[in-house]
Amino acid sequence: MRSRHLAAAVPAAALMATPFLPFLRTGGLWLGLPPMLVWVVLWCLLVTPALLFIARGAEREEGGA
Amino acid sequence: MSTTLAIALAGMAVIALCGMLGRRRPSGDLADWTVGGRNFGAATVWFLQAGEIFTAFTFLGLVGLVFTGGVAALYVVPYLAVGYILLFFVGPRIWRLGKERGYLTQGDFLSDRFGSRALGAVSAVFALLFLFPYLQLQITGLGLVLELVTGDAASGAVSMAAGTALVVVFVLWAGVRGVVATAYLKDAVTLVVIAALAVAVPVHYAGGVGSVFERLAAERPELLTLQVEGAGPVWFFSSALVSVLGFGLMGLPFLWNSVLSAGSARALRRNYAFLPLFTVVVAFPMVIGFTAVLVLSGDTEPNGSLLTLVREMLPEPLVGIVAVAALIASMVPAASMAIGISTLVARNVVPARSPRVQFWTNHATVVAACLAALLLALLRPDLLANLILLTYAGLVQITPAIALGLWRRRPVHPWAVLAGMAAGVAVTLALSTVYGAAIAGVNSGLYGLAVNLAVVGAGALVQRALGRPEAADPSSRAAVGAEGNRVGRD
Repeated sequence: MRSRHLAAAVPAAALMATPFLPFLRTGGLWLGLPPMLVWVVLWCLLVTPALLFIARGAEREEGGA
Repeated sequence: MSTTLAIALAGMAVIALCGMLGRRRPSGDLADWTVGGRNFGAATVWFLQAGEIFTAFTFLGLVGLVFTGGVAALYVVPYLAVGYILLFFVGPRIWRLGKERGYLTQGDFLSDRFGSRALGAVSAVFALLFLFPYLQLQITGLGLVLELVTGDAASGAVSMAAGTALVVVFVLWAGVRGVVATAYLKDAVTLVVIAALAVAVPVHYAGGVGSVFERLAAERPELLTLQVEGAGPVWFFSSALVSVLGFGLMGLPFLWNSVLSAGSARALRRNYAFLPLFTVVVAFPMVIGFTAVLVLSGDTEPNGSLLTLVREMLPEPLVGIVAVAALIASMVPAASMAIGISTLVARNVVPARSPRVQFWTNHATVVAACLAALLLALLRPDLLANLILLTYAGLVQITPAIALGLWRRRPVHPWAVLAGMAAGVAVTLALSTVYGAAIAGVNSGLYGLAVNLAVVGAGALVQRALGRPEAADPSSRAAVGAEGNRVGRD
C-alpha cells in the first residue's frame, strides 16, 4: 500500500457515503437534477484521473525495476 | 408477422452471425475457446468489459427499479465505480497468476492457490447455483421484450427459443471470440439507443428532462430523497456494498474470461481506469425511469415500463430497433454466462483430466445449461425468482477465498476457507428463505459474509494455535502440462 493509493480511496469513500449525506436528501434540485444523481456522476468521473495517477506511478516503478 | 417481430428476429440473426464471424473455424482447444490466446488488446478487452455492465438489467431492470424505488436505484453507480477501483488492483494480479499457471476459471485459481481440488470443485458448485438463475433471467428477458412490444405472448416464446438456439450456435462455434465480436455491435447499438431514448422519452412525455425533475420534486419528493419503504439509505448502502465485493473481487465467474484473455496487465489497468467514465451511461435509463413514474399507472409491470413508453411513442420499425437493442443486451451476457458455467463444470466439477474429455464436457454443458434455462423460462418462469435476487448475495460468499488467494503465502488452511464459504452460503440461503432478500434493509448476503469471515478467522486462529506454518506461494511451484491444463492437483 503506497501513499498514492489514497487517491482512489477519496472517491470510493465519497461514493459509498452517498445515502447517508443529509445535504443530498433535501428534496431540492441541483442544476435541475436530483442532488444524488449529480453527486454520484461527479465522483464517478473523478475515479478515472485518480486511477490514471496511480497507474502512472506503478508503470514508472515497473519501468525502473 | 408484425413489422416489429420481423425486425427483432432479423436483428437476432445478425447478432448470431456476427458472433460466428469471431472465428473462421470452430475452436478445438478449450483454452483458446475460453480466453482466446490470452492476447486480446486493450480495445478488445474494453468492449468485453464495458459490455459486462450493459445487460438486460441495465436496459430494462434499472428503469423498473427507478419506477418503484426512485433514486435508490443509483446504488448501481457507486457499486460499479468502486468495483472498478478494486478490479484495478485485483485484475492485473489475477491476470499474471492466470498466465503463469494456466487458469481458465475462478475454480482453477482457488484450487491452485490453496492446493485443493475440493475447494475448486465446491466453489464451482456454489457459483453454478447462483449463476444459473442469472442465465435464465437473460433468456426470460428475450421473451419479455417481444411480448411487450408486440403485445403477443406467443411472440415472446418464439423469441426465447430462437435467441437461445442462436446463442448456443455462436458460443459453441466461436467461444469468447464470438462474445467479443458481438460485444462491439452490442455496445454501439445499446449506447446509441439508450442515449436517444433518454432525450426523446422525457421530451415526448413531459417536455424535457428539466420538466421531469421539477414535477417529481413537487409531486413525488420521496422518490428523490430515499424515503420509499424498502429502498432507504441502509438498503442503498448494503446493496452497493455486497455488489462492490461480488464484482470487485471477481465473485462473478463470467468476469474471469475477460480478465484472463487480456494481452497484458497494463491493458487491464488502463481499462479499469477508463471504465468508470462509461458507468455514467447508466444515468440514461434512470432518466427514462423517472419519466415513467410521471406517465404510467402504478400497476404497470416495472421491468416493462421502458418498452411500454416506447411502444406508445414510436412507429413500429423504430420499436423493432429498440427491441433489437434490448435483445442484444440479453443475448451477449447470456453467451458470457454460458461460457462461465460450462468451463466451471468441465474444469472444476467433472473430474476429467484429459483435455479432449474436458472440451466435450464443456460443449455438452453449454447445450444442457441453455436448454435447461430455456425450459424453465418457458414452463416455470417463477421457480428461480428468489435465487435471482440472491445472485450477488450468494456469489459474494466466494470472495473471501479469492481475496486470501491473492496473498503471496497461503494464510489459512483450505478446509477453513471451505467451511467459511459453506457456512456463508447456508446462512444466506436460510435467511433469504425465511425473511427475504433483505433483513432490516440489510442485504442477506452481508449476514452470510459475516458468518463466513468469522469461520475463516476461527480457522486461522486454530491453525496458529496448532503451530502449523503458512503454506508457501503456490506460484513458486513449477507449472506443468499444456496451456489451460496446468492446475488442479492436490
